[in-house]
Amino acid sequence: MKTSDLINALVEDQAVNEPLFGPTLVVWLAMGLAVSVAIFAAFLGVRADIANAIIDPHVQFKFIFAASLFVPLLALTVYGLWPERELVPMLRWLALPMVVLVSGMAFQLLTSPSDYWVSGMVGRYPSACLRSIPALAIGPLLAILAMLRNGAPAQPVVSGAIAGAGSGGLAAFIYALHCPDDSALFVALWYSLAIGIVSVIGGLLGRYWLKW
Amino acid sequence: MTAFDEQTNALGVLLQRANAGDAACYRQFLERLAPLVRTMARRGIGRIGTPMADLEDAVQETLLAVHLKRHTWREDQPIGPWIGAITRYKLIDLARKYGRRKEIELDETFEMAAPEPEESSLPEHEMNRLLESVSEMQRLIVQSISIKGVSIREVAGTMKMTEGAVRVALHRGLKALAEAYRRVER
Repeated sequence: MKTSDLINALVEDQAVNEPLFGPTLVVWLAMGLAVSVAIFAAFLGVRADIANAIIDPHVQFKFIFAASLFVPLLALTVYGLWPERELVPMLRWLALPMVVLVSGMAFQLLTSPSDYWVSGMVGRYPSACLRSIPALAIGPLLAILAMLRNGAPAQPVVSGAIAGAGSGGLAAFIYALHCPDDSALFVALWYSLAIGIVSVIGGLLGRYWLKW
Repeated sequence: MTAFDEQTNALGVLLQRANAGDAACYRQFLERLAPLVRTMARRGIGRIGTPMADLEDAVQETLLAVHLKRHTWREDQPIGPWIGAITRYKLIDLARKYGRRKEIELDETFEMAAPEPEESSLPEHEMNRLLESVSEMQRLIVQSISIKGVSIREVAGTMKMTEGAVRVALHRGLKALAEAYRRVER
């Protein structure tokens, strides 16, 4: 087939592509979030002492850290939908959650006695954290990957990993409503690990699913 | 305004009209784009140091990608960087198939890119072999419309299908072709 032949076929193919931000995307995102909410309602639930816990800065920190992660990362995911945009230089935005995390840890170290540091870090339910955050993240991650698939990310693996970390951050935000471990050191260790796992899953899926 | 700007502006206007449904403009867009992509790809392949025999395949794969991703061009943005990014993406993929380092410095402009016509004496392109992996009906439709230049209406008549069904099969066939391209081992 000559290139001029191929052009004949391309001209005849008038199939209109799905817009990047169309109704299908809204449906996907709603479904992804619904999966997370269903998992949360069925297996986790809001912690019983939420009314008191929410005024504790250690608890608030979990929400602030999760938000500082997922807001920039999901924005970056959208930014990378267009092929002429480079994501790697934009990763400097990761400094924001880093600063938040380090501040939270410093606050924790200053406000708790040193013999509580290790037990706080290990926490009571680390394995629940490691299972729940990826489980809560998978619905939104698949929806976001569907969005990326319709776009043209220049670095599919990077885009997938960023989408994974963003979804993981969102899942952490939801999980914080349930999570009974309130030490910032617990967050630094287990939340980060759980979000890292989702990020790796996103990168792997990106490798197989986001190439175009 | 430089010659480069004029060239890319003209392409942008053509694609804009094509997106509004003007098929003749789309043909013009692709016919002007192909030689520019060929020049960029020749330079890119030269820089990667892989066989120049892949040149026309790289051009065809890039055109397919431009076609299938044309909704990612924002009409308020210059078209040059967008086309450059797609060409670069395809060349990085090519380099990776040869196990080359994937970082490629590519001029993202058409500057100095004198349009280069397709050579007639090229070896059989990969595309023909790839068509073998596309389902038979889609292959027949893609081949009749591309190589024989038959219209969708005529294909529908000879294959006893509705025009809508031919359209769908053509689109799926082109997508399958792009997918088969990605899977080629070099």
